[in-house]
Amino acid sequence: MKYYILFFLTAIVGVVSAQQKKDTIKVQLEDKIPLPFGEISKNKLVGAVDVIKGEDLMHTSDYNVESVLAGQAAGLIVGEGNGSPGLDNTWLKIRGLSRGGSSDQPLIVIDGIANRALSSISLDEVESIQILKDVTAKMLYGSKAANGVIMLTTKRGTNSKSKFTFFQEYGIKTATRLPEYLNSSQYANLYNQARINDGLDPVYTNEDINNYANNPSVLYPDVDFYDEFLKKSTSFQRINAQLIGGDDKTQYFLNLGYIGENGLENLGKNQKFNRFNIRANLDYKVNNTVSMFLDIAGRMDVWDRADITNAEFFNSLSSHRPNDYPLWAGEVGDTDNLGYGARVGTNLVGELARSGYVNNKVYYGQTNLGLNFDLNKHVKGLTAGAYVTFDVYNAIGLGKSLDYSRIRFDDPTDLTQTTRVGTDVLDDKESRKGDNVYQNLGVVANIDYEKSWGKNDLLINLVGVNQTLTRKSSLAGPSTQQDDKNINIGLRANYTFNNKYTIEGTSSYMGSDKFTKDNRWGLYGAGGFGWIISNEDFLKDSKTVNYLKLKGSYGVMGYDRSFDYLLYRDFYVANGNLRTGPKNSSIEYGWRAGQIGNPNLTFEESEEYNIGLEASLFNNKVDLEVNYFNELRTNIPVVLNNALPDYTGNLKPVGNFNEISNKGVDLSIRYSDKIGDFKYSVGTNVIYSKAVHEVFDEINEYAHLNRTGQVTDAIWGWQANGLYQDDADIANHGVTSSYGNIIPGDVKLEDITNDKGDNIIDQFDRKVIGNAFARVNYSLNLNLEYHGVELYLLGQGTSGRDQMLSNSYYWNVGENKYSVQALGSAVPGSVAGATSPRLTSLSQSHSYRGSSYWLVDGDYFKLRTAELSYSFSDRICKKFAADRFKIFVRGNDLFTISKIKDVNPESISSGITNYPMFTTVSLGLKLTY
Amino acid sequence: MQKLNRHENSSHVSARVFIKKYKMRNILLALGVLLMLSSCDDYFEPKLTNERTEDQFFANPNYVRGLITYAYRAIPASYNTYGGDFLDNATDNALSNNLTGIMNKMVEIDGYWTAVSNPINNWQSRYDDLKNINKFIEVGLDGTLLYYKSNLERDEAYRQRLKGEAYFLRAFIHFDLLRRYGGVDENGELMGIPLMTASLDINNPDDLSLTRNTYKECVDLIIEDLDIALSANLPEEYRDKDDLGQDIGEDFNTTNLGRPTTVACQALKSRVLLYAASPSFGTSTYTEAAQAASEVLDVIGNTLPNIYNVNNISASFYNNDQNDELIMRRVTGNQNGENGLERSNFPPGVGLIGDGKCNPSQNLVDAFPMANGYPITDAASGYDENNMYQNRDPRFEMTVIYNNQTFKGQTVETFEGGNNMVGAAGVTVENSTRTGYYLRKWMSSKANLVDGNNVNDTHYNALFRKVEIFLNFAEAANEANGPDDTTFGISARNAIAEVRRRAGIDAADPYLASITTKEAMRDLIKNERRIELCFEGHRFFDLRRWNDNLNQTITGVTITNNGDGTFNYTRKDIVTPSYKDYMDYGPLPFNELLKTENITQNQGW
Repeated sequence: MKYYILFFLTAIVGVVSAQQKKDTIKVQLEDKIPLPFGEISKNKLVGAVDVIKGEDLMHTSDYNVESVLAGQAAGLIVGEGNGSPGLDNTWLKIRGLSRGGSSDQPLIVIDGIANRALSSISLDEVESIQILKDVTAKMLYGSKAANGVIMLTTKRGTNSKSKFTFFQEYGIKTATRLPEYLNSSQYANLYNQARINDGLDPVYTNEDINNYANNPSVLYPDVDFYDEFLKKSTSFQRINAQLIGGDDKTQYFLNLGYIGENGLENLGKNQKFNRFNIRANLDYKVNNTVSMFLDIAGRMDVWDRADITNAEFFNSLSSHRPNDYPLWAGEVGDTDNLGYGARVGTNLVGELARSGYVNNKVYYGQTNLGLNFDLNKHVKGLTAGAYVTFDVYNAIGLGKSLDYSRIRFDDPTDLTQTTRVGTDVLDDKESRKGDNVYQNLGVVANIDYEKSWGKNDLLINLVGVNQTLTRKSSLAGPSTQQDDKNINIGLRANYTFNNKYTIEGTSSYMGSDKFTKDNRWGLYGAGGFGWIISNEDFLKDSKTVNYLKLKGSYGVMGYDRSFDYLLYRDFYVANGNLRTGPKNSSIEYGWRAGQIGNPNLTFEESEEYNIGLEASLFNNKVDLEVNYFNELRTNIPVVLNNALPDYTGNLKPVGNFNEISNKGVDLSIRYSDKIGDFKYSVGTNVIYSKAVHEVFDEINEYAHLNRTGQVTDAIWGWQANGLYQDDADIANHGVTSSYGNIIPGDVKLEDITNDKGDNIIDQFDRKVIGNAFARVNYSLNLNLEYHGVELYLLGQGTSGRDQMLSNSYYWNVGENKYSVQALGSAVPGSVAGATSPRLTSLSQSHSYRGSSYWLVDGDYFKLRTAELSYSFSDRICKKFAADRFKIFVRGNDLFTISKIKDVNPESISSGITNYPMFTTVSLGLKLTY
Repeated sequence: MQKLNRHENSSHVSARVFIKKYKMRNILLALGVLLMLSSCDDYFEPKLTNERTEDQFFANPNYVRGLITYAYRAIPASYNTYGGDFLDNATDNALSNNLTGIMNKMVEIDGYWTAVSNPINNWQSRYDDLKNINKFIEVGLDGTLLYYKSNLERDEAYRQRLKGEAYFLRAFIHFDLLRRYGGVDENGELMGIPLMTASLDINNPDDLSLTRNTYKECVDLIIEDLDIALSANLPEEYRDKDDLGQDIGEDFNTTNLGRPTTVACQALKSRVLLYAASPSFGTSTYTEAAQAASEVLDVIGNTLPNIYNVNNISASFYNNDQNDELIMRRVTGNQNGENGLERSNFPPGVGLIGDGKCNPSQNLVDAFPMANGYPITDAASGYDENNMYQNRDPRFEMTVIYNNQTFKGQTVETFEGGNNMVGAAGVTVENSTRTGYYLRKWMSSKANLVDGNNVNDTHYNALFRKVEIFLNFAEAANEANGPDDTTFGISARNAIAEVRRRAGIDAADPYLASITTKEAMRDLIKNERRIELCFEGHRFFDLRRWNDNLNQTITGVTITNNGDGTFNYTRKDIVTPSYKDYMDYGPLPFNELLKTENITQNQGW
């Protein structure tokens, strides 16, 4: 934590000490900010919008559009899950948990159309990304937009000399952190201890343990799975070629990219990922009135791997014990025989090398075809446009599932006594492993009117959107997959007087396919103001305050993504059966009510206000924006479990009931300056957010179990007070546990409900012991440039977050594989100094459950991106006949600061249940002609 | 031609004018199209799904019949439905080695059984079934819905059978709820449950604030429903040929085994009235109970079928779903049988590889008399503590797997260090016995769990069997008029004698003859009931309705092998349950009390 504060202070001190510097980098207030269906100059904006420029995303070797957004905008929070090749394993939240953590993902809009995934876009195609945060900004996107909108715009051609860019990068990836496990002799020793703890006899003899340690063999295997099966590093490669240009009639943007990455698998089939993407965005001016555009993008992702998923592979690594089976049954006949262990049954070498293969291909196609009309000559300031989009997505998996035999040793004294388990299946038909299709059809039409007279500026946008997403899975999908249908008609009017006072009204008539005919349409509105204080006389000539704007917005908008289809109607379903007759030879099928419909269901609503300040200070060296937001989500649908007595049956209708508030502040500051030829800038994005259950459908026996009034990310668990030191300690504490025996070395849990004097630790003794979602998310960015040498650093971190260390790495229970954590476990008799509770060979136990014993400070700070680049001088560029020539060295996730040292604090199961996250180092070049 | 040209021209001109003049309008048109789309509500109509709307549903007799088919789930198809354990695992009959299971927690953790965590709670599910049944009674029986359109005679007979099933099920479910929730409430009144005889309207506040009916009202309605079921067209038994040797159609032949019969209705009546007459309730008399039982005896006769056969018990009884003992049963799983019960309860260790879950207690072992009929505590019994299992009631051998018994061709070893105790191959603390015994009752000796040699067998839940009627009768008749009264044809003594005869106790049975008082006979009847009906879910409720001691210390035995073919037996106390007095009656669900205003809790909870 200290480090982060230090970083932050450095940034602030930098800002303050540099007040006196004269040179400025002009802030372009007239920059247009793209908004839904139109753009607006920054000084007329009443809402809260973060803008990420595409070029800011080009410093990293991470090629996934979602994860590179971490730390790039004040209002956007990004978390990474694992590093599977070619996949975005991230979650995105705008302004925290607006729905309390469930179904609160933002709406993704790409080139004006929703139902498209960020992962369908290549980074090189990104012109800019807007994060729409407040109600006026989101309104025009309708009934799916209340959680915030990530609006991505792809690059377009320009009316200038054509520019060709070639980019190539090659890098090495190493796992950031991998869990460490015990070897066979350590395991056997500690497992014996676990048995003794449970009052059982040890399983392994001293001779066994000695053999594991000194004489490993097929009978006494000692396999280090992570070491055997994972490469120390893997590599990736990116190539991109891009052409931008045009004249006043035709403009084009053409992009061709390739990404190749290998997996970590060391034995058997190594995973390979390849991606090819193309895009052409064309603009053509037919005449002075009509212009057209056509965008076509296609992408193909191909994964080649063994017939085992990444999750299965890593779950095997983290669960197959070192003594489960020998990888190879070397002593028997040819050395190609695989070993067998009864507990696991499979052999991971066989799974990777002999189980067949899977080839997954994903195809994306995106097209936009549009017309724009410049109607200036009819009505001054009037433009209109319409476009149609059509996307297809198809994921196909083909593969073969083969099988392999293993050798079991039946007699420890005679290695020739073996049994072959399973049979080798070397050939089989290729079969379909997956088949998913979706189509997305969209129609957008808009009319824009812009007029200025005297001191007045008026801007009106009227827009209609209709889009339909159709899905189909040909393999074992649900029997009916509903289409996602949206219609939204919106109006925005923005009026500015004297370039000082702006008011804006925006309204949306939202259609939804989730409600009855009577409730399908909702009219929502919002309004906002802006006051450019720096244009008032008293600040006009200030050198300190170059620009200062106060803004605010308030409104209510509907949301329907949280509703399932057809919740409003009653229906009956087939369920259960009765078998009768001799030995149940006959069968008859049962039916029951499947749903109690609620015809009154209507939109969930988000009531929000935002108050913000934008400023440029000290000769425009400091740019600052801060916003306070306050959102109240009402009418959240919930199964009304507590409204009807249980004697009315199992079914309860869904109603609009729960409420969640989400409040916070987001802030971004950037300080930019130069000293001679040395240019630098430092910046930070910070967001604080807190979501609370204001109304929650519940009835609890004890008040401390109520969720109402608690933060939505509360971690519920038992309050722990260290470990029981000895029997006297147990007797003093005087509680029993409904979860198993208590002996010295067990976790001492507090009994907070003791109303019947029962002294039992049970489910009612849980309370809020922490929170899972970081209260503060922040990033720090440093940019230095001197004579073509540039340094770019981006760090990102969290503060105010607890992590429950509850995965299999920390909980060495039952028959599980033991990690190094087991070394520190308490032994009855010498509990002091232990770092984890006493071991147990039982699958259920008192100590290994979610208590504050396992809760740690989950904060972390990561250096996400570091890039050192050099742009060659014009003289050298000429030798390549190039305009620009840049070489760079990059690093991703170079270091992490956290109290969690053993696993990745951002996702403690990465490397355990799936791919680890990676530290990347790469080299590359960029040539521009 | 000219005309045409001119026409073309003019249209061309007008088109241009149109474009100029109405270009703006074109664009509005585009928006207009969208608006039209939106005004067209069909666009938002979701796709047809596989569920049935109410109209589709009530028009189809198969669907409507399915309402009671679904409600049959209220009848359990196996005994070990309490978190994988038997309800007897919460009594002094047995312990479970599943330490964290709900039955074990109930016995071992003082304060675990509460209105919030109630291991025998089935309130919501059973009311859900009642909802289905009432809906069926309302829409499926009035004759407007035809089950056989082409044969109205058959339709009528079939509908009458369905009516019988529906009313039997309603009675069965109401009674199941009654024995779990009926009791003296906080106002000191003996209450039952809210009776459900019609569909509820969730928009009607009255329907959302029901009160509990009294225990007596509940019993009355159950009896009334059973009388309706008896007057409907249920057969006495499902069989393939009638008395004249003619084929009986599929609506009433043996393919319907498992559905209620008139005998099952009478048997339930006998059980309900016996409960109601018991000390914990007492809303009806033992005379009524004895009368109800004797009515069943009138049909099934005064002799019990000989199903007990030590060497062939699986085939003759436990895994034979058509044995003569059964009045109504529900078979587990599908027509291929299964071996889940064996998987859970076979002894662990090589060859048997079960999980050894249910461990009969020493208490139950001691409850079995000697083969000569004397209890082991009787000096005349010939019982030898050092040779505990010798010369015992044959039912003992068929109920419990004990040390040195031969089971499935294997000698079971439950002595310390034996093959079926902790430490042996495949035996852990989690699957080895806590009492020294494993369960034999209901286990198939045909079933095999060994990989590659898997064998399944038929299992069932015997809902009503003939012996229960004899025991019901004996208890009621003894309480009403003493052991030897013959008002109802046979005496309590006769009934018990038949039970013991069938079990294989020596025909002379001098011990039974030695009993003369009502009290001594009561103890014997209770003990017979315990050992006959163990592991059938009766004891938990029997102890409570009798107001008997719930907290007998549960004991086991530690056996050491003397190495010379003899064993040393040391009795051990394992756990003493801490049920409280108020736990004769179960708790109503805590949530239900919070959600409703008028439902009262039973005392103590």
